[in-house]
Formats: sequence, structure tokens, C-alpha cells
Amino acid sequence: MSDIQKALLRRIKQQEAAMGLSVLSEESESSVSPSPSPQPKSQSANPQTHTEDEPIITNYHKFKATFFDCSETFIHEGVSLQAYIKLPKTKDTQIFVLVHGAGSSSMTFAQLASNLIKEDSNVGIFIFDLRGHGDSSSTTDFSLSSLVEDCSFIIHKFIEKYDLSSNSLYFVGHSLGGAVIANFLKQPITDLNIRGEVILDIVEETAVKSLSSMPNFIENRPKSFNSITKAIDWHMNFLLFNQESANLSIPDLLDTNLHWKTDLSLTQPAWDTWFTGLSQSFLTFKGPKLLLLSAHETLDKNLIIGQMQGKYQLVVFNNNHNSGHFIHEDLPHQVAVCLLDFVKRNENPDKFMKDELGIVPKWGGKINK
Amino acid sequence: MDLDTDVPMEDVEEHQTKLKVTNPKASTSTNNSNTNGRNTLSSNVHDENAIGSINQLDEWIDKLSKCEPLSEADVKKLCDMAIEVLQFEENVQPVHVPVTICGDVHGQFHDLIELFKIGGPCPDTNYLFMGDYVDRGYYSVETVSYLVCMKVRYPNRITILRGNHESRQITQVYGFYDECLRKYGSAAVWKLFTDLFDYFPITALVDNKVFCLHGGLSPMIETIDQVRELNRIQEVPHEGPMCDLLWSDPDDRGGWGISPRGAGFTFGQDISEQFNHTNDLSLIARAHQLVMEGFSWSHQESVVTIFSAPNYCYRCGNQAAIMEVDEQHNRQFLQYDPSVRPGEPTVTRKTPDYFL
Amino acid sequence: MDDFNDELFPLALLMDELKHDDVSNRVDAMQKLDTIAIALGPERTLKELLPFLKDVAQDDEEEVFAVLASKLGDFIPLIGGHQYCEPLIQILTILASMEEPIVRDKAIDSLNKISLELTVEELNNIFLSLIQSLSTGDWFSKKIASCGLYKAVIIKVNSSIRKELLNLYLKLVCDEYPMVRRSAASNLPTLIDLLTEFTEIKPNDANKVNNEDWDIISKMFQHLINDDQDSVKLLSIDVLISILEFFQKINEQSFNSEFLSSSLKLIKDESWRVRYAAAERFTSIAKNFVNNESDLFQLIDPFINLMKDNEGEVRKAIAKQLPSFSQLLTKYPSTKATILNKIIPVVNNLSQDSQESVRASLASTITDLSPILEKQSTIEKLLPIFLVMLKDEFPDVRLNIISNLSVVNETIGINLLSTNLLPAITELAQDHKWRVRLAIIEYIPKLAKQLGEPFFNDELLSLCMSWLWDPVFAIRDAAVNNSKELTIIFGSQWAEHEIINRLLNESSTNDDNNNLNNIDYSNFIIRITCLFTITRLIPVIDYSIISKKVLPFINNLIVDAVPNIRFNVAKSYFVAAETLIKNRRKFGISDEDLNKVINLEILSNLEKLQNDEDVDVRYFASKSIQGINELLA
Repeated sequence: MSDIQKALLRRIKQQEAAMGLSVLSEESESSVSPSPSPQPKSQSANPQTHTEDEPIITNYHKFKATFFDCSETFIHEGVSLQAYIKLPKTKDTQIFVLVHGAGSSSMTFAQLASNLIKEDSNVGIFIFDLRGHGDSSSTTDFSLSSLVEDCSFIIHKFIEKYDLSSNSLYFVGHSLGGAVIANFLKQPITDLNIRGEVILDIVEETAVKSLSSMPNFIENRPKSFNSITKAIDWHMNFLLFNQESANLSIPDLLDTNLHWKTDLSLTQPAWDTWFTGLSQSFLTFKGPKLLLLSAHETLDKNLIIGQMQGKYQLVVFNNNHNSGHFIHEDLPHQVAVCLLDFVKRNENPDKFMKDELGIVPKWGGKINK
Repeated sequence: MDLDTDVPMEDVEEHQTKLKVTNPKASTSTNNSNTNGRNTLSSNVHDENAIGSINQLDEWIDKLSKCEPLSEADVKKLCDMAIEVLQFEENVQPVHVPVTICGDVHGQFHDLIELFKIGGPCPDTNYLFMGDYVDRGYYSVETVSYLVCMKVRYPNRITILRGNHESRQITQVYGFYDECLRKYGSAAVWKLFTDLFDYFPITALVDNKVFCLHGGLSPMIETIDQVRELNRIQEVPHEGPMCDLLWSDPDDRGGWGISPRGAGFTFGQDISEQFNHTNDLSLIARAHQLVMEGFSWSHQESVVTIFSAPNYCYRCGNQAAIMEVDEQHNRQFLQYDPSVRPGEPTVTRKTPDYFL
Repeated sequence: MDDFNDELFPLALLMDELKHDDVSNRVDAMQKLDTIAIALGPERTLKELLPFLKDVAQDDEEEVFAVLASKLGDFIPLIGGHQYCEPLIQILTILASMEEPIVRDKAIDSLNKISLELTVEELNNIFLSLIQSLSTGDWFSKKIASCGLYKAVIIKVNSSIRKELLNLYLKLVCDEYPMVRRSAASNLPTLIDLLTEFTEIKPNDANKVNNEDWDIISKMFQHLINDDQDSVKLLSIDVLISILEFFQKINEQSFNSEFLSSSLKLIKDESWRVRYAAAERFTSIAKNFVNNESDLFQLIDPFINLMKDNEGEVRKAIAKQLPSFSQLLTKYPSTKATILNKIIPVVNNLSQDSQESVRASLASTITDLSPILEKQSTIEKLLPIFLVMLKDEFPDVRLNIISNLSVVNETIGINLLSTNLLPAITELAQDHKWRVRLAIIEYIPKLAKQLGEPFFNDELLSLCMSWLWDPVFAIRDAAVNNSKELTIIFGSQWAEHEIINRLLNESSTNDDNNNLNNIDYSNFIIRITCLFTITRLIPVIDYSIISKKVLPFINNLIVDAVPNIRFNVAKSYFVAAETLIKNRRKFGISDEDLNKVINLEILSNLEKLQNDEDVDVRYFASKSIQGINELLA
């Protein structure tokens, strides 16, 4: 840009501000770059790499060790699955089962989990690393059916082991995790007390379409990092918007050599199984459903029809520019409040109306589930 | 539902506060202007101001019928005129037969024109629209401008109720806000219209027999008189009777149910029958839900759902319908398909860079 | 926006809008480019806007580039004339070299547009080197772009440069990239046509097209027709047509047998895409062989084979060629029998093709066969096919037949036509899709004119009346209009007996018909439709009917319970008054009678309506009074 153009630009900005036009204007000059910028290859340039990581690593280990009541490994047909558990306080409080997306791990839900507990210390939380992710064992079989079988297995084992069959279960899945739970829940499961399904920022049509750009993304992202801090910075540059969340989620993604624990290119053969039919599966679940989208309303045909027939609740966080695809990391408190409201409203509608909203029906009896 | 009570929607909050501060008209003008109320506009053809307004409105209607939006300045004038008309309408606006009752339109302007081809042009045919004029379709601005113009020009011939999409919050998610920005370069027109929406009546009563509203019944509203007591001139609340009237759905299960939408309730046949009995009604007509045939009976013909946006969102493959109610209260449903037209502009949705 | 006078403003505004997040905004901004250039004036457009655009042309999205590329085509006057064209051509060259076809095509169009404004010298300097550098470019998109530019210079250079250019073009035709060959092939016919035109206009020019040029072109054609890519090969058909046309023009037939075998090779190609392209252009190919009976005869079997092709798209394309090819055949008496014996049986098969789009395509052309076959054969061979097609389940097939019937009428006469076709028309008139009904209604006046009154009254009148009560307004409205059109054809008396009396329940047939046909006025839609129909008829009926039937009917409605009726009554009064005032001479109304009707009947009733309880009734009554007073003044 020439100087004169820069000057003009500045002036236009000033004019806008003077006219009060920026109130609703959507972009700021420092808007986030829409695509990952290639990382400079000369990584050895930074000598103090590891010392700057120390507080982050300490904090990360401390969280994993203290927040959960226990962490536990389940073995399913030779695949070990790592789970983190916060037990519900009583037999009639709810348990959130949180399932992460591809290339992510349990700790993507770290801040969401602590916000859930902050808001309601009675609820339980169950998170696990999908096969080939986090601290679960590596694999080359990433097909949706295998992921769903893992999910079914680990939930049943967990409920059985801790004798929690009377507690209500709420399944929350982000991205691929959403596809996993939607597929798991599409047929009636009589031996579990499943009361609600929530999927975070995943729509079949968009997901299927964006798969075509994934090879390029995977190809272009750095294979490793100089430090955890650098890895966090890289994510904060375009994928994540909340430093606190990133400090807990990113260390969980890298091995000791600071390489990715999950080689996403290995998942490619399974991609065509992941999202096809997702919308229909989601709508097939009979109980209360919530779809939470991060930016724009991008529903596909099945979801539009479902929504326009009042089949599920849709929340779109479109006003907030500090959020992206990892909505639960970017806005953990808002997502937590949203989930707890969803639970309260559906667990005991009559009580929720009375206590939370002050609404007592004037006629027609009480409000049913 | 589409929004959760605790999700921060900063812009909306800002606008609502602004509304309270800068728009005292809502509360003050009710008292002093009854004398020159709704009939002023066209009561005397010799009145120069009235003729001026009528000519102006006819010009706007002409322009809009070609799907050309009004200028921002004209929208401002139109909304001022519309407030003068709408603020004197009742929460339960009385409507006479014959009338043609229509459901959601959602910015599908060309299909609205198709609707008039099927049902006849306004003012020759009387119309009652049950809300949801904006969002999702590509011509929300033209659609709502056109209907509001018709309302101001022929207040006795057309009734426009409020739908759940006639709201500041919802329009920011489903497209009307973005469309205003795109077509006018600022949110000013969005603000004018959403401020106007607060004045739209929320229900109508056709010859004391057919109760019309966008959504459905509320556990807080047992009689139509209770609707009359509401203060409707406000943003659609997140809960409470006014919210329910715009959000609720009929359901196969009896009694009240929690709505899967997250706002409003579901109501069963027992509820509909009791409401119709208590209020001496023959029918509840409502919109709000997409029905593949364009209309659908529920609760053994106590409730009818009417949806007037064919091939909703240009992709749902549904028929649309309108319901003619004649002088003897006979009902006739007219179904129709999308208008024949060159393809809609393709709004390219950007595929995200990362979606695993 | 009070800075509008600021001299930097237009450019600033553009730059600002070009930063917008939404592509459609940036596209809109680009659309205003010429306005901005005008505001800036030529000098600043050249010095400030173009450099800025050059940057833009390297950093945006294709939608924006496409608009930029097309806008720049009109920029010569905006930069102060052709002598300053270079920076413009530079930007367009960048755009023309892009991979997105939409951008490239627009940029090439603009470059060609600009070439028209350049002097021969500028063309030879700037354009020629542009073409040369693009043609030998390092990237396929440059070569593709170059193909579209040859036409700007090919007949403006001397014969030695032309030969060089053609040799350069031959390289493009043989390029390793199919996309380049495709572009070269599709631009070649235009080049040949230009050379043909040049030869025609200046047959004795010093630089006239010579055998060496044709040798190169012939090599190009041989490459294309033997290309291993179907998508390239099929383009050789247009090249062939252009070459054939050249030889036709110069009356040279010695190569005909060679070209005929090339044609047959393409028509019988194993790729359906090539056959489809040949089928689409069948008559264009065939007409070049029309002077030789045996050449033309050799094309008949291949034509029939295309009609039986396995691929529906091919059958659809060849169906379109049926009348034009048959027309060519009529040149020789011997081939006429061939049409009946060989082609018509296959047409019959096509009319029942399994694909509806093939049938619709045939329906749009088959009626044109009737003048070729003449009366007897039309009746024997074609009418049965029309009848089948009129009952086709696919509405487009039926409509295409209906809307092309007039040519059949000219051949066989209306009586034969209508008795044969009426049942099918009646069926269509009740189609459940309202647009099909509408199409039929719109055809009725044409049909009525040809059928005559008695036949129409017997066969179609009740159908026309039934449309007035259609549930869809657009059909009722078309039926109302239809009754006016019919009245224009059959006259006022007819309208009184057949329409007005029926609408007023005064029809003589009702007496002995138990009032079965009586209209039930209790529904408002029926009343308003009667009012609309009668009002629409006022301008085309006699005074006596207006005064004895129409006005009394309207007068009765001023107390209608529905305001919509009352304000339409007010509108009707204006139409009545207007007709009476304008036609008073024709009607022979005395001034006294006119005053009586207008004042005592029309205006006095309008005054009653002016005090109506409904505001819209008052408004339209006042408006009509005002309009009548203006007419009287």
C-alpha cells in the first residue's frame, strides 16, 4: 500500500469513528488472519524455549492432578482409553459426558469443566481421550463406528464401576465428538439414563464441505514446535481466543518432543464416515437436544427443517468476535451456563419455571418434561 | 430456541438501553394523539397532507413491488408513519371476514408476490399475516418494507402481527441485520425496523371466532382478555406470556410441555380445547412451524398451522399455503409452490479453514 | 458523509469499500468504478486510480476481479484516449493470465474491446507483442488467454505477419495442455470467419488470404479432429463449419468429398459428447452439401441414427434439427419420400421417448414439419403424434405443442385441427398446476378467432366460464381478461348473452334448468369476480348493455356488506363514466342523456360512497369523482 493510501485509510477510520459508525462495524484493523500462517522454519533461533514453558507445564500438571477425582484407563479390545472423572456429589445430580473432536483431546474441556463445577459443584464430569488422541493408545482405525463403540464401551464401564445408573447423563460432543455422540445416541439406549444431547459447533453440510480443505491445512501446519509457548501462540493466532483455556488444552496435544500426539493425516481414510448423516442422527435422538454454534447460522436442510419444526434448541454466539470453532475453550463460562440452563430446564421444567423464571402456570396443570 | 438468556449479546443490550433512553415517544404519544389516529391518512382525499402521504406511499409500493428497496431516509419516514398507525392497534387486533390468513414469509419476496397472485392483490383481498417477515430469505428488507407500506396505506385491509423473528436478538443471528448492513451500509435501517416491530400487534381475533397469533398458547394466558392486559411495546422477552404467544407450538402430548426450542411451551389438545371453549372460539390459527404441505391441522381441528414460505430457505422443498375465511366462516386452503424466477443470488458461505 | 466535496473522497470511498469483509460489497464497489473514474477525471484516473487497481488486481477474489476486468473494457475514454492505453492493458494482462475462467474471459473481452479503439500502429506494437508473449508464456493460463486475442489483429496485419501468427496459433492447437488446445479450438472458427469476411470484402487485396494460410489452417483442423480429448475434438465441428462456409463463399467444391468424410467421422464418433455437438449443428453442416444430391443423401442415415442414439442429450439435440434438415431435403423430389418412409417412423418413436426432455424438445419443433409434409400427410402422419404428445404427462411437452399449433392450422385448417385436439386442450385446462391452466387460457382467444363463434360456444365457452371461479386469483384474473378478448372477437351481443346474462343470473337457459347454473353470490370472491368481469367488459360493449345491464348491477353493490366490493364499485363507476364520455359520439348519446347517467346515477352513487364508513371506500369514491370531473371539464 502506498503512503497516500495508508493516509486515506486512517482518515476513513477517523471519519467513521466521528460518525459513530464503528458501533456495529464488524471488523477491526487487527482482525485475526483467516488461515494459518506458515511457521518460520528456523526454530532454533530461540534459546530460552523451555524456561518460558515452566509455569505453563506446572499449571497443566497441577490441573490434571487436582481438578479430577480420578483419572483412569479403560481397555477396549486392545485399545487403551484415558478418562478423567469428576464424580457427581449425589445419586440424583447430573453427569456431563464430554467428547472432544479430531486432533484435540480431553483437556480441550478443562476450562468448561471447571466452569461447570464453579456454577454447580454437584454435577459430575466424564471426559476421555478418543483413540489415537491424548493419552489413549495410538491407532490407524479412526472410523466412526470404532469411535462410537469406544464411547459406548467406556460409558457403560464407567457407570457400572461407580454405580451411577440413577444419575442423569448429558452428552456433549464437540465437532467430531458431536458426530460420535449423535451416532451413539441415535438408537434408543435403555440401560443408560440419557437425558440430553448437546453438539458444539458442528453442522453436517459445512463439515463435509470443509473436509476438502483439511489435507492442505494438515500439510501446512508445523510438524513440531520449539516450545509449548510457541505452540500456544500458534493456536492463539487463528484457532483459539482464550489464553487460559489454551494453557491447559495445548500442552495435552504435544508429546515430550513437542510433536503432535495425533497424526491427523492418519485419520484421512475415515473422513468419509465421520459426518455423513450427522444431521439426521442428531434429529433422531428423542430427548432434549441443543445445538450450539460459534459464529454464523449455517444450518443444512435437515437442521433447518428440524429447527423450523421446533425439534431442538439452537444457540448461536454470533455477536462475539472472540470466539471460533472451539467455542467451549473460547467462552467456557457462557457455554457452561448455557449447558446448566439446558439441564435445569429439562430435568424439572416445572421447578425451573417456578424457581428460575418465577412462572407458575395459571391453568392447564403443571409443566411436563 | 435460538438464544439463551445468559448468552451475552452485547449489541442487543446496548440497543435496548438506547431505545429506552432515546425513544420516549412510545410511552408519551399514546395519550395525546388519539384524535388524529389511524384514520387520518386517507379519510379525506382533499386534505393535501393526506394526499401527499398517499401518493408517497403508492410510489413506495410501486418501487417495492419491483423488489427495489427504499432509501434509508424513506424507511425512516415510513417507520414514523407506521408507528402512528400501529401504536393504536390492540394487542388483540379485531379483524373482519372475509380475510386471507398467511404464515411465515421470511424474506422470500418473490414468493410473497406469488402469494398475492394466488390470493389476489391487496387491497382487493384482505390479509392477515401472522409474523416472521424477515430473516433467512434474501429479501427481508424489501419484504418487510412492502408489507409495512401496505399496512400504512391500507390499515383496514391488512393486519401484520409480530413473529418471533421480529426481534432485535433473532434478526442478528438469522440474516436481517446482515442484510441491512449489506444493502444500506449501516445498521440504521435495521434499528428503524426493529424499533418499529415493538409496535406490531401480537394477536388478532377474526370475528371473535378465530384467534390468530404467531406461536401458540401460554400457561400464563387463560383468556383473551389477559392478552389485552399485556404491555406489548417492548423487545420480545425471553420468557413470560408475550414470549410464549410468539414461541409456543402445539404437541401430540397433552398438557403443557417444556419446548425443545428453549422458549415458549408445547401445548396439548386438552389445552387448545379448553382455551377455545373458555374464549368461545372456533379455531386457533398460527404459523411458526414449517409444515411440508403448507398447512396442517392439529388437535382435531382446534388448531391450524399455516406456513407461507414455499421451499423455505430455497432448499426445504415444502409447499406453502394460505387460508381464505369467507363471510360464512368457510375456510379454503390454497397451496402453492415457489414462484418461477431466475435463480436466487448465491450467498457464498465461506467454509471454515478448520473443522475437525 | 459531509465530506463529499473532498477531492480525495471518491478514491477513498472505493478503497474503503474494497476492504469490506463481504465479497458482495466489494463487488458492488467495483461496479461503481466508472463513476469514480469520471469523478476523478482522466489524469488522476491514470495516475492514481490505475496504480491502485493494479495492486487490487493481485489481491482479491475472483468475483471482484471479474467486475474489474469487465469495467476496464470501457476505460479508454476515462483515461483520456487510446494513446494512454498501456497501463490499462497491463492490468488486463494480469487479469487475463489468471486461472479463473470468469476473470480471464472478461479480461479478454475488455482487451478486444480496447483493441477496437487502437490505431493499426498501436495494434502492431502493443498488441502483437502482447499476443506473442502470452502465446509463448510459461504458464498455461497465459496461453489460454492469448487464444482469445488473435481476432483483434488477424486481418489487420500484413500477410507475412499473419502467417507468423497462424503458425504461432498452430502451436497452441498442438499444445500439451488440453485446456490450451480447447481454447485454441474454440477461438479458431472466429478467426476463419474473419478471414472469410476479409476475402469477401477485399478479394484482390495485396494481403489476401493465400494457400499457405489454408495449409496451416488445414493442419490445425487435422490436429483437432484427431485430438485424443473428446472435449477438444468436438470443437473441431465448428472449425469444420467455418471452413466449409469459406469454400462455399468462394464457390470451391473440389474438397467436398474430403470434408463430407470428416463430417461423417464426427457425426459417428464413439464419444456421445462429440455426437451431441454434431447433432446440435447438423443442419449447419448439411447445408454446405445441399448442392449435391448424393452428398446430402449420405447424411440421411447418420441423421436417423442420431435420432436413435443411446444418449438422451443427443436425441434431444437432433430433434431440434428435424424441421430444418427436412427442409433441406425438400430440394430434391426423390428425398421427399424418404422423409415419410424413413424419418417419420423414427419421429413417432421419439414422441414416446423415455426422457421427458427429449419429448419436450421434439414438441417444440415437430409442428414445423406440417408445411413440409403438406396437408394430407400432416393429417395422416403428424396429427396422431400431436394427439399423443398433447396428452403427455410432462406439461412442457403439451405446452410446446399448443403454443406452436398455428403453423399446423395454416396447413390443414382449423376444423380438422380443433376437432382432433379439443379433448386434449380440455384436459390441460383442468391441470392441477395453475401455470399450465394459465398458459391455456392465454391461448384461448387465438383459438377462438380460428374456431368461430358457434363452435366456440359449443365446445369452449363453459370451460372459459369455469375459469372465472378458479380458486387461484391469477387464473380468475386471466379469465376476466379472456372474456374481454373474446368480446372483442365475438362482439357486444355475444358478450351480453353468453357472459353478462350468465353473471347476472339472467340467462334464458336458466328458466328451464332449475337454476342449476345460477351463481351463488353469497361468497365475496364470486361477487367481486362478477364485478371485475363486468367492469373489464365496459370499454368493449354497447351503450345499451351498459345502461340496461351493467349499471344496475353495479348500483346494487353499493350497499354490499364487504368494503372491498364497495370501493371496487367506486372504481367501476369511473370506468363506466370514462367509457361513456369518450364514446358518446360512437354510442350516439345525447348530452342530456349523458348528463343524466353521469350526474343522477354515477356521481350521486359515488357521493353516497364518499360518506361510507370505510376509509378506503371514501378514498376511491373521492378519487373517481375527481377523475370524472376532470374528464367532464
